[in-house]
Amino acid sequence: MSRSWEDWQGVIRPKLEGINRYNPDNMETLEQYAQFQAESHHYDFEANLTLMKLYQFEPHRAVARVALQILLKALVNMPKPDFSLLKSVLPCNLHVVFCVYTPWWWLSLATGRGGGAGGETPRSPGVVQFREVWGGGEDGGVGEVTSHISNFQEQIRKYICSVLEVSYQTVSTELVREYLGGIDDAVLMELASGSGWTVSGETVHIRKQEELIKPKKILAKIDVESVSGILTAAIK
Amino acid sequence: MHAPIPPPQQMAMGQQPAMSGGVPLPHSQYPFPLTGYEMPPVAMGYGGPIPYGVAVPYMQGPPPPSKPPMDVADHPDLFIPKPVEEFLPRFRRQIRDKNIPEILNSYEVEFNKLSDRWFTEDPWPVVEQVVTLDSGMADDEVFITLYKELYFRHIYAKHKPTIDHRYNSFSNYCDLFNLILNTEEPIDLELPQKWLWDIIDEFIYQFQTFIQFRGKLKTRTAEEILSLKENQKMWNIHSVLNVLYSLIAKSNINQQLELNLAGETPAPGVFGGHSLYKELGYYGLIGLLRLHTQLGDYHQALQSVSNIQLSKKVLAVTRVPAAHISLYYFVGFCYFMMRRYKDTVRTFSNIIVFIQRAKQHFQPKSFQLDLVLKQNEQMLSILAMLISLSPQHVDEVVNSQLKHERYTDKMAKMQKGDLKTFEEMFTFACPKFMSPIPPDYDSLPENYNKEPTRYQCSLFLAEVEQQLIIPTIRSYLKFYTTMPISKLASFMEVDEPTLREQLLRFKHKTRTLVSTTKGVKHLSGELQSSSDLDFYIDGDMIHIADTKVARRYGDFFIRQINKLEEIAGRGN
Repeated sequence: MSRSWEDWQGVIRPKLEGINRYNPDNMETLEQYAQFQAESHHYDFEANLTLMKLYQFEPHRAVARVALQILLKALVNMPKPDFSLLKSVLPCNLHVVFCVYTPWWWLSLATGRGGGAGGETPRSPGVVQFREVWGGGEDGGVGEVTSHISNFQEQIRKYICSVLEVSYQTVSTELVREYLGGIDDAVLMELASGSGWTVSGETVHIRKQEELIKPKKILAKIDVESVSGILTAAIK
Repeated sequence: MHAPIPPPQQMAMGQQPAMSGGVPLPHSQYPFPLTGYEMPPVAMGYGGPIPYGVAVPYMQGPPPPSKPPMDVADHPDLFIPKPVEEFLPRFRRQIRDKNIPEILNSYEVEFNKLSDRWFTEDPWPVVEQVVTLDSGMADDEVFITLYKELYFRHIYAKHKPTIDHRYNSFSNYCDLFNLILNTEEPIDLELPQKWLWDIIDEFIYQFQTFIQFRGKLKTRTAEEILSLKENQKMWNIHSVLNVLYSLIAKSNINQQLELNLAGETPAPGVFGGHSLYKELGYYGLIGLLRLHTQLGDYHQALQSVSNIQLSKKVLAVTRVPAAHISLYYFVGFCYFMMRRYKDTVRTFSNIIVFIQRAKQHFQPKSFQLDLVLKQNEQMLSILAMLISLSPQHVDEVVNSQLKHERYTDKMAKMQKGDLKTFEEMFTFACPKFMSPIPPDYDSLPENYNKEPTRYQCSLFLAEVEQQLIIPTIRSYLKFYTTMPISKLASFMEVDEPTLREQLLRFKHKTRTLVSTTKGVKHLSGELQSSSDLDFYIDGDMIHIADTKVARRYGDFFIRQINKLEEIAGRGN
């Protein structure tokens, strides 16, 4: 499979039009396309959703590995709502397997903080079944899963950075490191310069928030439409 | 431009992978026509594709089931009452003359009156009898198909449709859509908008009831189960989607709407310029919105109506309020499931205000009014959940309806984090979710019909569980402009690291898309905080930015003036 992104567009677009979206013969191509996306930085939600929908219509042909790949790819594209949109069309035979995994859980996982972040632990049956799907060992499962998406950790870190960016004005360096999965100084400096943060000793300056997050006032507004009746009546 | 004709073995591919229970695949005996394929005419009984540029798939009525469509013996005396005998030929003439106001009257008023007078116990006369009423009636394919549409709809509404009724009604819809779609020139027919909407709405409704029928295997007889197994192409999801997509393609509706929005003159083409096609295409989009929502595909649902503008202007002139109420309900519901709370509030508020005004135009005690009132309640329930999770300003009209005790009690419970109440409200307020695939007829899993709703509800509740912390944090922050992390942590009775994570989660969950496109392209939007209260953390200090809403005296006065006018007017 050595199609380029442009080549893929030519192949995929016609398959997403009108009723053709639901043609089960497209399944294989869309699966290959999902694999292509997993190995690259490209992302095509429309196509992945179509594939998931085909799985929904023919659950016995659903490939758990591909479904998961698609979900992970959606996850690293937060804050787009894609992850939950895909989950709501999961084929019925994968419901139990995946439904306990929330973005938040994945976040904590990806940063190596364990499954218990914020008191949110996925119910254990889910974990067990999930590992069965992968045939993973005690701890091997998770790493194995995420390794199917190129730059998974980096991308998740990028998302966490974006959450930090809207939350903090200044924050302790130690905390940032922890949130990003215990990264070392070099990685931190690289991320900081990429995001426009300044690191000075124990503190990271994220950005000035005063101007961005400030109190708002909503004034009462009346549109013409709602008073026009009264006004015309008054003129008469 | 067409893909090659699939070789026969590809058509039968469904035979290879069998489900554990050995359920035949929906298309194992049924290679549904799809765009880009030319179905072999002989084997499948399909004609060639319609030659008007793009090959649009069309429907072929499946062969009639083994039984005759209606047991004439059900009609004890084959007696057709005089008024009915007069009504049907007149109705046919009105349709032939394209006299829309008269058709509408016959359709909406007379047909129902006659139903209530003569057909409370039995269905309307079978078509074999009807054709004897008027010369030429037997050859009037269009009228017969339309009559049968009403005939079956009456059975669905007032009687218990049997499995054969369900099959035959499906075949009749196929015939009807074939008449409309499988033609080189527009069909010589005009119908009231109301009827066209009802056709689309009823088609999806009957599909939905069929899914429930086949999922409820415990109450099915052995004969029915056998029949369901043998007739997998009846009410197949692909056929239903096919109808809607074909209507949309044939009418060119999306392109027309798009040009219209851009302020350009639409170039509708032969079919799109015909009101019947245009309207069926328009309602087809709303139908698709509904169907996708019921399958849990909120993205595709909103995508379907992305060229339909949600605006007060459109609402003000609509002749089919039911269609627009549906449109807003499903759009708002999709937004809700996507956590786009501001857009949900905006969509629902507009339509609730509209219903408030439009209510009086519905016939009192009619089922249409009941339906509208139910949808109104469903939307209020969603808003009650939403406001409990993410308190925010709503329109005064909506607010006053939410003050009803039906909601206040529940909202108090939900604000305390009572998941049971969320579940109850959600189950009431959500559309009927459907499984697109037939059950395993040999071993029925329990709750097959309930499973799709249970699943969507579980996704929602998982979401609620993660969001519950938000109103709590909000309620503390509300009273301060700055607050040390340690202080909030002690209020919340958690340690600081946990609180910091909760604060990040607050940010993560409240950052959603908000539409900025004035009621079209519903999927687009820009990232904003959906909360009325925002904050940032500077080291160990939380800085809070609240939203203050001015009292809305204007609205209040307008309402009071209107009320006064109304009372004064009544006095005269």
